[in-house]
Amino acid sequence: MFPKSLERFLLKVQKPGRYTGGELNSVIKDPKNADMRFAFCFPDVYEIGMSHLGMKILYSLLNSREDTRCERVFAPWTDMEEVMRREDIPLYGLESGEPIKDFDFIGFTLQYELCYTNVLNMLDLAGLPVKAGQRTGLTPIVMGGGPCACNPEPLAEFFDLFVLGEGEEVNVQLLELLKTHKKMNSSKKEFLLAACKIPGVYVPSLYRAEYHQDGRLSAIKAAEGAPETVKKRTISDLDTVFAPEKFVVPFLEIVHDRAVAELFRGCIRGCRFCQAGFIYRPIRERSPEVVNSQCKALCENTGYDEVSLCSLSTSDYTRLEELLPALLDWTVKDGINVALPSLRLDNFSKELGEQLLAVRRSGLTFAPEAGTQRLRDVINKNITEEEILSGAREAFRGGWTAVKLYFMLGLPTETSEDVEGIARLAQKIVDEFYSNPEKPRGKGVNVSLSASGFVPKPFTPFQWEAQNTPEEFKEKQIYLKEKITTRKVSPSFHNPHMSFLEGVFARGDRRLSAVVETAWRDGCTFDSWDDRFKYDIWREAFKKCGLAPEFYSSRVRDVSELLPWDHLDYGITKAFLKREREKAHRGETTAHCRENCAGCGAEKLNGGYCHARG
Amino acid sequence: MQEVRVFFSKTGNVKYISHLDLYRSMLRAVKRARLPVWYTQGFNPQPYIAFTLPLSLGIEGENESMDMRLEGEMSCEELKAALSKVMPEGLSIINVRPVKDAAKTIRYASYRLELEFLSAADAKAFYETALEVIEKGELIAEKPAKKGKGKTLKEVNIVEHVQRFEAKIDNNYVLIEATLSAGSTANLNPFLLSEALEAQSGIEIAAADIIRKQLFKADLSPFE
Repeated sequence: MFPKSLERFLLKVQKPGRYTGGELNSVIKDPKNADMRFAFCFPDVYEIGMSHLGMKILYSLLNSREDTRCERVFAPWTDMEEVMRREDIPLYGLESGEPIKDFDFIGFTLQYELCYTNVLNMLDLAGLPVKAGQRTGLTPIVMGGGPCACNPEPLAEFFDLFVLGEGEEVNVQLLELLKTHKKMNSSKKEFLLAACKIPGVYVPSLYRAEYHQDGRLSAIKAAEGAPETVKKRTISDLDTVFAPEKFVVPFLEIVHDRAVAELFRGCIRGCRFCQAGFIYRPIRERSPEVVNSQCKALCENTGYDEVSLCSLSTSDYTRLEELLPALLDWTVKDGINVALPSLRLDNFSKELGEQLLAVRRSGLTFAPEAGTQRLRDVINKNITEEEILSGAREAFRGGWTAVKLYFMLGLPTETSEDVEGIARLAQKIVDEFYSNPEKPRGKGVNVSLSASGFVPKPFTPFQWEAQNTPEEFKEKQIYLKEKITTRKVSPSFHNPHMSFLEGVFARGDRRLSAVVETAWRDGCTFDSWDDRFKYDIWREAFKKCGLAPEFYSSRVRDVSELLPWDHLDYGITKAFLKREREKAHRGETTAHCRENCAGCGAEKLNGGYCHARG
Repeated sequence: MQEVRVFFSKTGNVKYISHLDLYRSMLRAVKRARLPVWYTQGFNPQPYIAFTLPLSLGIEGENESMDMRLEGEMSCEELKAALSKVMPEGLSIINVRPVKDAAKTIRYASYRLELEFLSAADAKAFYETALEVIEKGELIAEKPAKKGKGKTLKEVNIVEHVQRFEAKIDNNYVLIEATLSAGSTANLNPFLLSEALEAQSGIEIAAADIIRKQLFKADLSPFE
């Protein structure tokens, strides 16, 4: 639903279906019995937000409660924003069309740093002050979760609380708590003082940051009984935790328009650049029976003709060879395609390969990440050139004529040789195509090469490293382009200024709240959209706030330096990250967790149990 | 193989979804209902669904239709029941019948246009211009040319494509019942009509609610 006053403008904006709701399986409840209201906000457009699995899970979970009405909210595109501001229509939930400022919770999922101005814009469109301290009533409680919550400091000023880790249990606890406090007519402060006692709940206003003269953090002090460190939440049994059997089925085509079921959480690989590989530990698997029946229910309830298995590395699922036959047994009959993203090249067996033949082929993507073996060892991407090339060879034999390659520029210890290595590796893949005796006649090969800028992230062994400056990124891009001599390889690059800002906010402290607010007030929104990104305004915002972005991204931090996220506990220990960092600089790899436990420490989040160790 | 025509309505907020989105929604409904329909052959088999005449985004349809081919045993009544159970809000199955008329026999469509104006005086002035123009038999508007690429426009006399036109005023509303050319040979989008009248009269239409009511053949008998 949408407010009646919007009706006459809907045909004047792009894709009005973004704003109307009413999709199949959206949950509309009788307000009489469900008095707790939750606005689940994704700070980007509908098509992106609706593709997000976490939102689907929590939306269904909250709506499975009789007392709760959870609604979806997305960032209106600029044309719609203009209408809403002009006509004074506050941001509303898609289920009821009612303003979210009247809800009990406004929850944002924070998936990437460049969505921060959208968060502020959505609060403002809702008719709320963006600063938490200026929202004085008990409700709405503005909360955040998702990967960026592992260092939420740049957003500390705007949020009442953050949820660290997996949300299935803690969201329900918060809901219960707020329900009680509403009955008691508590103040927001009283609620927050109680909420900070729930494990996984971080209330930034209860912590004070202190700084050295040179700008580095000197202390983060908990006050008023808040815990010194906040430990992230982990669901220990993925077979019994709530999993949706229905997805809202959008009318509009969205980015990932299909059923999705999780295989496992966490990752055994420990690629040193990859935040997801660390912050979702320890690894926990779901059983094939549970995955299979969820897939089946989802397809029946949605009518989707594709189901995707979701994890950080599909072929690391230990029971894939049990699951696939069970899945294919009904998907083939029902004309449903099974998508297996994130397959590694080094560990899929012949049997698996054969089973995959029954699956409709889509694009083929390899992620070598770095161009030389030396640098791949530094980042612990345990894959050899021969494995990459034989993977490509197999693919070309199987009839593929296009592959995608993902690389990063600016990885720690990178030299010009490593950058050149990217071009060389791409060339070798092209050569593999032409040396295939059975290559299709009259067809060329198309290798699209995407090179992004490396962003050091919290809770990775590279959290202390300097990021390349935008100028360095640009030089490397030009150098790489020069080294690509074949037209069969088409390179594409990320905007270096975006990578730079992402780096600044990923490792930023709470002083950056002022910069986010200034940039937003000066007109920045949708910063991850090329045509909306306004770097000059950002530069100006840093200047106005008296802060240098390079301080956050372009210097090597000493391992003894207090980091803005040091009071947040994601299980993995600093000692482990330091060990991994030292090994990286020595060019040594670390075996994956099933081969040999590297002692990351995350198992303590799960009662000492890690699936990789058994 | 039996070819059936499914008559349905598209009303309320689903008018904001495009033809392509409607097509995808129907594909999924067919999947959910597990209908024994014929799948297109080839790389990516899909249930075969052919819409009789696409409806523009923003227009509701009271009696739309699409054709499917049934492979298994299923009566029209069973198909109607199965499909009705799985439709999203705003899309309702009215009837399922064996295909009778070919889609190319469509010549006209009837519409109801509910045009809202900022004032009753605006409504009155618009109404008078509309009647005058229809009476005179000429209203030139630019229409995207059918052939060729890009944004080539050609001028057409809209009134030639107006088979019937009745209008009345209700306060600040003008209510129009019109039958316009429709189908593959000549087609007049009702938005083009309302916008041309808006341009001609110089009076802004505040909001337009348009419903396509029925499709007709050359002799003005209903398309079935």
